[in-house]
Amino acid sequence: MEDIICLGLSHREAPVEVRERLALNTSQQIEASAWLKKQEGIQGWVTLSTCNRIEFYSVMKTHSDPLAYLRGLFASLNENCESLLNQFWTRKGARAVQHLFRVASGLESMVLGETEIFGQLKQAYAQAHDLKLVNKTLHRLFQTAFQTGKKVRNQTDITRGSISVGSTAVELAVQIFGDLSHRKVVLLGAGETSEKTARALVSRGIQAVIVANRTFDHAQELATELGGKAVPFENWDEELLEADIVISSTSAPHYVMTAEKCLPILEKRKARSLFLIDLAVPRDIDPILAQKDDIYLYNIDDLRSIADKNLAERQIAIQQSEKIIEEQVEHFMNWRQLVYPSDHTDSLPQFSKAP
Amino acid sequence: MSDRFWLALATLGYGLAFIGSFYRAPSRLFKPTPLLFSCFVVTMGFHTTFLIQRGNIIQHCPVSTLFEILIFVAWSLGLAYLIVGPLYRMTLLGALTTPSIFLILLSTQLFIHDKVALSFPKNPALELHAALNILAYGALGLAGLIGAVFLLQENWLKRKQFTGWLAYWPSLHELARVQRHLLAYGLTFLTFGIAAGLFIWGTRNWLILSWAVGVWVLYLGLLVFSSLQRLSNKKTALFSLLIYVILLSTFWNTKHIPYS
Repeated sequence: MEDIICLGLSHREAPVEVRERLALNTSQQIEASAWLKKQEGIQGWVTLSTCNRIEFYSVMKTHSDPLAYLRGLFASLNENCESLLNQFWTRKGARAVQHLFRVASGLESMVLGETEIFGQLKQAYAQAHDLKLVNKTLHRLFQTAFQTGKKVRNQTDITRGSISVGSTAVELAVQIFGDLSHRKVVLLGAGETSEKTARALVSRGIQAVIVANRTFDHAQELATELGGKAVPFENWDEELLEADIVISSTSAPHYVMTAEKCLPILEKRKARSLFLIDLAVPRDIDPILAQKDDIYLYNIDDLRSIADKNLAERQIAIQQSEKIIEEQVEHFMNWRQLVYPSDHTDSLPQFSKAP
Repeated sequence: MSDRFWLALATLGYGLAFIGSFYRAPSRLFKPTPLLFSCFVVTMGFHTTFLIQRGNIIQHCPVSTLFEILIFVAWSLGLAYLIVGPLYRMTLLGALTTPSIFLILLSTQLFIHDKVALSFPKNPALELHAALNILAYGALGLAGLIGAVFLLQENWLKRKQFTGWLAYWPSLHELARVQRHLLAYGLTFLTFGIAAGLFIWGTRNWLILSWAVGVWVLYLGLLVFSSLQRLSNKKTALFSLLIYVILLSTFWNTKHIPYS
């Protein structure tokens, strides 16, 4: 008789200092495989070691002590981390299966629905397969997990819609310009939200960043961090002619980008699109500018309202995802009961959050 | 098998692709699938077979009656999509082109009498003129369709009605770029089509010619002003849609074609 066991530790339970000590690189995993193969109680083993989680999926003989095997594994690698091993949680049977399917679907990820984990899981399985650590149950388990991950991503909106002001602004910029790599962004003021938004844009490939701030030193500091250029605040309008995106967050009590000042410049830009992001309260950009063709103006409330709407949509997607996972767990457990009728198969857990 | 069999099969194929794309969850409507695209390609094969068989029967390009012209226009719309869709990764257009073609084919078969013009006088210049113009109709039609998509999306972005599923749509810039390319292709076909029309013997209909040249001038102006960024992307989209409606109205000249 055998049990499916999952031993795990993730960003939710352990800080990076702990995770980095317990992470296993490829050569350690190869080394550990020799020890694992000698253990009579272990019939299959897959190690998932990423920056956010260290998890071991195993098929063990019933009544084995998973933590004892874990201690043995780290001891075989001469890793002195006995005190840290107690932080691992253990899940058995359907709960372990459910956890794996949630991981594959991105529900356990730091950024909900992210797809990187899916590739990491595939890699972990392939490595275990190459090391001949995968038995029939683990093979079936992981194939069903991959199937589940694909189903969740294809049939729900779990990966869609930004839920922060910064990423919503990026999403809108992509919707207007497509590829952002050749776009130029101008920052008026260097507030925290505008800095975050600019960072999000830079992470999507924007290379030309101009920072104009009343305190020039601060502008220079931020420009250096973002790999851009600082200009005196008085000269920001000169940059408007070539800008594609403007993020404004000054503390001015009146419009900084007034119609009077900007309309002549916008005329010179001809039909070039311009995305204006006004993060300031009171607002920096005269809304009259948005009446012109090819000018898209969003203020902080607009961005927040989109982000909130996306968040609500994601909540629905989570429920849909959990329903899919529930069905897939049931499907897998039915298969297992059919193939190994004598094994202990517990009933499906209620879909509570991981402890 | 008769030519009409292939046409019926093509109509069925477009209909199935149309239903197939709408059967999916609304949010994923515009997400590309290889299956739907393959279905479109196979259906285009049926459509082409009809045109070839009809051409063999009447011994010239199947543009002798309004029925054939409409079927040919639908085919050129499909051809334009087949080129533009994968080239510019605009599979979104499939979800719009397929129903357009399906409706053209269905309404043509339901409401327009198909009289095979066996005794149609052979006139290579007329055939070339018609074929080139119809290809222009396809490219410019798709440009108009992209214009409609652009206007819709631009309106949503301006009114801040941004939803997550809009992320499956091409960006406004991409739409504007592809539209300009299609206008250029369409205008090239239209130019040669009108030029070929000058070689058609018989009495020249100056009214038709003036109308065609007028439409050509409008497209040329649109392309030039748009390329020079003298016209906003929104206005380019709007005009490409409006001028296409004017272009479609040139169908009144088909009454001068025997058997129309």
